Amino acid sequence: MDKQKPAAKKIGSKALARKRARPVAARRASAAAKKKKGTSGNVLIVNMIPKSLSFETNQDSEPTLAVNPANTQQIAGSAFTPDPGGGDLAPIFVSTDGGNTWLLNSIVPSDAQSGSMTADITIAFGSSSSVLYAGIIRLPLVNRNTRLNILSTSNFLSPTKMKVLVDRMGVDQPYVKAATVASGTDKGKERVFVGSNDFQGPSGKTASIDRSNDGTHFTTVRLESRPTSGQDGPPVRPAIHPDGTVYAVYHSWRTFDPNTKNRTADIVVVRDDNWGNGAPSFGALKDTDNLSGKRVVQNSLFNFDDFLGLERIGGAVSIAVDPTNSSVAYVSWADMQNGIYTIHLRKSTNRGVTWSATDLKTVPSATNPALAVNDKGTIGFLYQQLTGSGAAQRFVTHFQRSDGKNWVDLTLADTPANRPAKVFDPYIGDYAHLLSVGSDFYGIFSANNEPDLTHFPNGVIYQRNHDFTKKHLLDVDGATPVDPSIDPFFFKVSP
Amino acid sequence: MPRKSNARPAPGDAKFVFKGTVMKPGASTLAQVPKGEPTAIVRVDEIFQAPPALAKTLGKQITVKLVKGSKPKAGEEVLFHANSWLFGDTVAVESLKQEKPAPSKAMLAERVTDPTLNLAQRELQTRVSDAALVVEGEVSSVHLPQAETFAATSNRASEAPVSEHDPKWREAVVNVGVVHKGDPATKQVVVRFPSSMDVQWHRAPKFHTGDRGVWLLQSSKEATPPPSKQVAGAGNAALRQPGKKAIAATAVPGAAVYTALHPMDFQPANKLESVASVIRTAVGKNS
Repeated sequence: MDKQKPAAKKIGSKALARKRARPVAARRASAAAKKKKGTSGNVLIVNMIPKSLSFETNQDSEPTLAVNPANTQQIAGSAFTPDPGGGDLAPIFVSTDGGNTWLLNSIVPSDAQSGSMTADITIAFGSSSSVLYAGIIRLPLVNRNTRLNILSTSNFLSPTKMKVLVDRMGVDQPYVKAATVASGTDKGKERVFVGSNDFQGPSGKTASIDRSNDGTHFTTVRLESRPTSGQDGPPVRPAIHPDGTVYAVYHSWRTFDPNTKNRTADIVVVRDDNWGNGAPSFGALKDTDNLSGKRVVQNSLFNFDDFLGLERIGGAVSIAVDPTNSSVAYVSWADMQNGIYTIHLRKSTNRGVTWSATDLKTVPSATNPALAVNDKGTIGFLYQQLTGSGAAQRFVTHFQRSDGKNWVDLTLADTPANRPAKVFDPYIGDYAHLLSVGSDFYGIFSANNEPDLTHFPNGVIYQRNHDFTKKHLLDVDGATPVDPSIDPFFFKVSP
Repeated sequence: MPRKSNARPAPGDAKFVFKGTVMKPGASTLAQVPKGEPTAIVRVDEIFQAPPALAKTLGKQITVKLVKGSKPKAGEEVLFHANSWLFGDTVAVESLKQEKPAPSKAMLAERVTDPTLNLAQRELQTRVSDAALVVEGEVSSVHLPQAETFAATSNRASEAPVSEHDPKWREAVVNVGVVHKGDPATKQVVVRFPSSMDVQWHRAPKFHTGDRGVWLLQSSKEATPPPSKQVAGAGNAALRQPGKKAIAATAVPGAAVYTALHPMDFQPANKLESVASVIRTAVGKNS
């Protein structure tokens, strides 16, 4: 496995031609040179579709990302991408050079008859174990019932199928986070948390976390403490601090109007101060009603059957904890404000007991909020905003960061929102993803893949064949045009 | 490292069958291939069967993870039965079986202009073999099943969990014309299909009044969920079954209910000519 970054240097055209005649190592050096030329400063954006799949037109939406903190050259990604070989295993994207180049490795349990892909999938590395975990909805379904698998592999480049740690029915939208205990009696132990909407939860209290103290054996913890309108919403998101503080945010459904199909939900944050081992687990944060879970906002309005452009919406939440101070946390959610789907961002500095009374950020007509905080205490905020009207609508993917005083905005992509035609829901994804390792932010989003540099004001690298001048994708023959589709894009922002 | 799985794919499971020339034993076209893997760089000379992604490797050099113990020499021609492994700048595949490519009558008979068509026809044959009923007919109407009707008109939230992955079942009533396999017992059958365009259901065929073609139908009796791996605190292990009442067709009381969830399970009338021989062959093999 190549653990070294390719040397970045300028290359003359003849030398470049000689290198292109050689295998991948030379192409990597070329990619590094393009990175310096094609991107702005400390921003790297890469279209993740490999060259050998230049013909593909899949709708590769709903991406997630995992960076190995023990070796940041190792990065894994996922999206609604089927196995190109049509086998019984679904692929993940893998990089061994810090995200500059990507390939597909099919190691996730799936089923060829069901399209060789998963439904929901999220991934995460342990802090120092190099173990990659995944939480998936495994196909095929059984009637309405979704099948949860929690998986692991100690070598994400191996052809070995991921090991199944948990296999049970009736669970939606698993969201995995992992950490390795750095000190104390449990040093080296793996802590894994998988948030999900577990329909087996009693009395409609479905927001749950499957947690593990060793990376192998799991226990289900029910987070919801209050009556719901029948269930909680799909998104349940954990956030782990190295000192053992674990937060989680979920969408707690309160009311349903059968005439309008509108619903209300509380945005609830829970906390555990000892890796989920508190008594009770995740019961450290109580609200004024003396029940577990701080209601950051009550009765936020949303409609589970609504759309933002072609993208379905129905409530979204994200949470991040400051790695330099476990008392500092940020939460983001989306709801309807005067008929407009709006993202909010708020902050707590006292372990979730109170939250900023007003938004740090309010973003109208936007979805897929994702949060991370780096080791400088800088908050990173990713979202995708719908702009314009009619055929001229765009999805603009923003990455913003703040040191607590000033906000800096980067437009990662500004792409057509109505082409290509939608194949399935979700169009670009029920979520995007953002994380930090050290001072760097890493993320992933899905968007229209037309190779038009005006769509990427901070630059972009394409591995798949393309023509930036004619703005065409090209087949493996380098000549036949390929229709545009939705691709996953990796990005890294360094200070 | 060989691909490990509880059941190693048999050579018959290979999706990629091709004749290639070994260019460089012990080498790889992809730097990410773990060191120590038994690989060779192979030029793809002729393809007999392939998924679309691998059909484009014709004439190209790819990496082949060889069958354990095999040591083909540079310049040697080999018939590979393989599955895909890695897709990067180039492709790596895993060989399940290797043999000398001496042409035989069977081999020549299988050669087709489009190797992806060969694979698709094999898969269609499998779908026909697995089907409980194969009929030609026309959709006379489409309805909401009773459970869905309740949810739509109820004064409260649906009894079923609310999820973005809800299939949103509908029932298509099919007037049966020709029966190719099985015995429908009635002149109409009900085909339950998901109207949802969610990622989990979008591949399943959707039906409308007037649709004509051939259906490869599965009985819609409730599938048994896989045994759960024990998770402490997960609550009662019993999965809430949708209820046996949901199986009964509400559009045509007493009619059998089937599903056709795979894209190949419905062949529209304008494609019948191209698939008729495949269906006849597959039905003939099963009779």
